[in-house]
Amino acid sequence: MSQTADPRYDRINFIILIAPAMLLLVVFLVLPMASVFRASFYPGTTAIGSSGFSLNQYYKFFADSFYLSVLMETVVYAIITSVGCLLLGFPVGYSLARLPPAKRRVRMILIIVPLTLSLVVVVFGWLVLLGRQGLANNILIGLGLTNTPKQLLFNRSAVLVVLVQQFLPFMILSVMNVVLQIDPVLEQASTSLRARRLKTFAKIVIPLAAPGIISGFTLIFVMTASAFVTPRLIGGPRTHMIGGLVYDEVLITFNWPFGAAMSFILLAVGLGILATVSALIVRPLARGLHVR
Amino acid sequence: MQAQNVVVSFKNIQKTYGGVKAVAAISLDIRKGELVCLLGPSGCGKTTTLRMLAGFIDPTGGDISIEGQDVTKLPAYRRDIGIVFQNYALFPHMTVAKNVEYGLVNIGMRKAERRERIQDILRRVELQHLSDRYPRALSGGQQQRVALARALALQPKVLLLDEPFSNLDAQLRVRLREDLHGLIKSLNMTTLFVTHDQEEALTLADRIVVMNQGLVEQIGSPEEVYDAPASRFVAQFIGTCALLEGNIDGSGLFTSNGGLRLPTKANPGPATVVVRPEFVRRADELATLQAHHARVEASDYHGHVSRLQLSIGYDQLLMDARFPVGMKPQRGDTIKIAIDPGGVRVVPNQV
Ligand SMILES: Nc1ncnc2c1ncn2[C@@H]1O[C@H](COP(=O)(O)OP(=O)(O)O)[C@@H](O)[C@H]1O
Ligand SMILES: [Mg+2]
Repeated sequence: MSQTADPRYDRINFIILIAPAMLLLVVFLVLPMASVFRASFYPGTTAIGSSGFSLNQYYKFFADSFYLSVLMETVVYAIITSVGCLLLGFPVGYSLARLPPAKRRVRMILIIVPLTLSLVVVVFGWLVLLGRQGLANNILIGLGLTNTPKQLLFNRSAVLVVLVQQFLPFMILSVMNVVLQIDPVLEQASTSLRARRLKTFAKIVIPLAAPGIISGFTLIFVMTASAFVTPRLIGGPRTHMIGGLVYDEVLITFNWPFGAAMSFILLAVGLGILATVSALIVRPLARGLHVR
Repeated sequence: MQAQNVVVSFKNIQKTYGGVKAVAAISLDIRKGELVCLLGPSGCGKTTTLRMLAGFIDPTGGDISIEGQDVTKLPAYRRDIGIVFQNYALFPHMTVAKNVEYGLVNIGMRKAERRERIQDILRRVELQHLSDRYPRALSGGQQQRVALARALALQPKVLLLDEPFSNLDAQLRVRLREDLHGLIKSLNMTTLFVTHDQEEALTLADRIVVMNQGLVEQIGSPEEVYDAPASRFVAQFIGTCALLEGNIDGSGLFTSNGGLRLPTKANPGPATVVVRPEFVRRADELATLQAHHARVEASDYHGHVSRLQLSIGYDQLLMDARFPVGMKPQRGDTIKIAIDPGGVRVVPNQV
């Protein structure tokens, strides 16, 4: 809402308004990222006092099937977690959006509260729940489904369950926000045009909710791909995700160049997959799903 | 009782929200090709009635049938009804043509036939040149016509319209009203129309259902509800009028307030009469009738007429009249008037 007709003033105003945020981003994100990127091209195993330029770190990664399989596993976790959150979160987000505002507020608090807890607390909660003496095993034994405690922790399914639990609120909120923008009368219009519930959902709700679905999916994909606390603590020593490997290289063995290279490989692969996924699903979503 | 050509039949339809009656009891038959209007003030239950017919609201009591089939329990998508919503509810992610095509796909119509149907209906609403536009790139009037085309494309048994002109400016409203009327009549479409605008109802409807607080006050042609209002509410809601109380004897009505004598041939007894402003005339125009001296309490210029508020003794009347330039009566003047007996209507006294 500029008062002036002169576009130069608009530009100056715009620059003044975004300057503080830009400054913060440049100093604390872009510059560190650039130096990490630079570090990934050092030839040795330390960044201190290094110079020169080589692709050693990248060769090391792609030549080792262990790293490749961890990368693969990380991507698979990210996809399963995002899809799981979508399937579980969409119905919740949709119904929240269709509730009267007063009822919605109370329920939203219940969804947001877990996000305010420290991740470590949440993960320890799961450890207690799924442990050998935990509630889950007690119930299984109590129901007579098993005689000895089952090993519920330290496997892939446990990691996925906890990741989905952690990130589900992001999908719920993302879907809820976009469904709030969809006029419920559109669904009635669809019904009066001979569409059953499922068809209205596939042809009207999903396409109009597509932006929220895609942003929730992207957010959760990125957060899962870089997760390291959950896989480490819930997955145990045999579960590996790239985030954990980067953590070890950077903070335990101090091999910054290799840690930096892994980070950027993860970034590039993640962006590549997200770009492919959205290119593949954006148009079909916007057009509506196919139902009979 | 069921006449052959009745399309829609409401039988004692009711809807209560937490003990509050939104619709108290409505019974109404709509005949084939008839354009019926639900008219009443905001909150009287018009939209609720319409939505019960559409299948979006379950009635608390009563039955609704369409062409003799009881549809009270039928889901909305099986009722064969077309509806135009107040805000049009066009699908924002579809072009005009896709919006119209949507319902046709849902009933499984083949592509070639669909294309023909879309072209035909868009031609009728004069929108064929905009078929590839998205709704956000259309004016309000164009959106309304897309909504109409989308509903009519399915050739429904009944067309429902909920205040379809309320989001348009006055000029456009009158033009689109005429277009809509022409289109509905050319298709012989049975239509139920909701409005709070009496002018819209009077110009469009074959029959008007005047509603008040969830109840039907009167059902009749525009002429009937205007000329022979069945209640004080109808008289006051449709058009403007003065209501006078009094007693009828052999020579007319004698008002209880001031002893004004009005000509009427209605049955003797206590009564309320409606006097419309256009039936109060200058005494020189109706020289054969008894003249009254009236005091001008207020005068509003409306262009084609001046509307005067008059008092005769303690009785208040309204008058629409033209006066020669410079002769317009001012507040406080006394003028001579006569009352056309054709405009004095007795309103049944309510219980
Ligand atoms: N979902 C609802 N819950 C409670 N009261 C409602 C609801 N819908 C409508 N009402 C009430 O019912 C009455 C009739 O509403 P409506 O049919 O929308 O009136 P109109 O269309 O004539 O303006 C109003 O008093 C309104 O407040
Ligand atoms: Mg309404």
